Amino acid sequence: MVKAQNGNSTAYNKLLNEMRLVATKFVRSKVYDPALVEDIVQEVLFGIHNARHTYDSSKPFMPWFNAIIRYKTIDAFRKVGRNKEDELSTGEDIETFFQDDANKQMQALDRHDLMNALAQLPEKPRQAVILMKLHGLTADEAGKVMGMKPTTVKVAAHRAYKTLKTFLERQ
Amino acid sequence: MTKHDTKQQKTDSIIAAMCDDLKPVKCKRPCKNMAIWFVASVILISLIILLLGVRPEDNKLYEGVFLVKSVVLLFMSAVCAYGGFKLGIPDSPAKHRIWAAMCYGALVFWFISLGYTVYDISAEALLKEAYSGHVGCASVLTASASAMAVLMFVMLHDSFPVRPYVIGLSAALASTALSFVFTSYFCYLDTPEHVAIFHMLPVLVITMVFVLLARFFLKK
Repeated sequence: MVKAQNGNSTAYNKLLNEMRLVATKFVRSKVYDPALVEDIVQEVLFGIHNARHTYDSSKPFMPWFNAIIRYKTIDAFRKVGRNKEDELSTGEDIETFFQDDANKQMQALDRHDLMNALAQLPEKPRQAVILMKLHGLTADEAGKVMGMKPTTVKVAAHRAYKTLKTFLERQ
Repeated sequence: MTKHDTKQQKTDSIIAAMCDDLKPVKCKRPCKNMAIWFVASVILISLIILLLGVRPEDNKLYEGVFLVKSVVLLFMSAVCAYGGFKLGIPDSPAKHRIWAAMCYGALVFWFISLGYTVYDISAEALLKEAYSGHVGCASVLTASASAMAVLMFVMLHDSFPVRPYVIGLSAALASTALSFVFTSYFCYLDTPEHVAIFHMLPVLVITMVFVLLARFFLKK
């Protein structure tokens, strides 16, 4: 964790993957629904990411980590309890688009041009586009990674799309 | 591909995204935060007192009871502020319970003080308590506790509060205790009715408001 606080992404990746296993084991002992388990694990990972500056290296890591897991699990139970009565089943999620015009347009674009255009963007909008379009996160998830509100992420991404469009049209 | 598999892939993406653009972060220590908040709050309230004017030279300011009361309240303010910043860091429930107990203890102390102040006041005397310009200025000083509590909320914004209500309570108690001490260096009125209506009651109202506000501002 200390290495992660210093910006070492390899150490951070290893830590998050290990903590993912610990969190999954803990949450599975409380929750039976596998999808909900994964949701809570994701929330725990967001919690670790956003609270990583609060960890004091002179103290043990596990009490800090356990507090986050406990808090996120209880919070998820509360949310599930609140939403249960209002929820309507919409069936299976549609995971692909019927028309892939957008994909065809993307193929037509030169990857190099796109990366150049991305490099022109300011830091926050660029990060928003990368998280939402390359990593496939939702605005809510991207907001949690960036420490911003989902609406702010959407605005940043929208501005980035506009800038990208102008830049690519000029080329 | 099942829904569960898709979610697992999403977790992989989230981990990759979090590691992708990782920046170094500085560890925030509660002790340092508390010191910054305390100094900033003292400067703020001292400036307000300097603007309004210190109370006329009075022997009461040098009385033992007055000084002990001030020291106890300053200590309470510092402990509550430290407790608030400590509770903003994820830790074992046992340690959190100790800090939460200290904040509850401070609240009980306020209630006992209020009870002691209003014990032998008649309703008639409370109604007769008059409003004046001086009282208005004293109210401004008491209300400055809100600004200090807001400052603490801002400092706690990027923390991870596991118990937001208790943090709201500690922020409010730390701020009100500090403003109470400094107000006594401005306000020379010390009748029980005045203290109860214009000092103790606002303190309790501010405390309640900030406990509720913590739900919206500090919950992650």
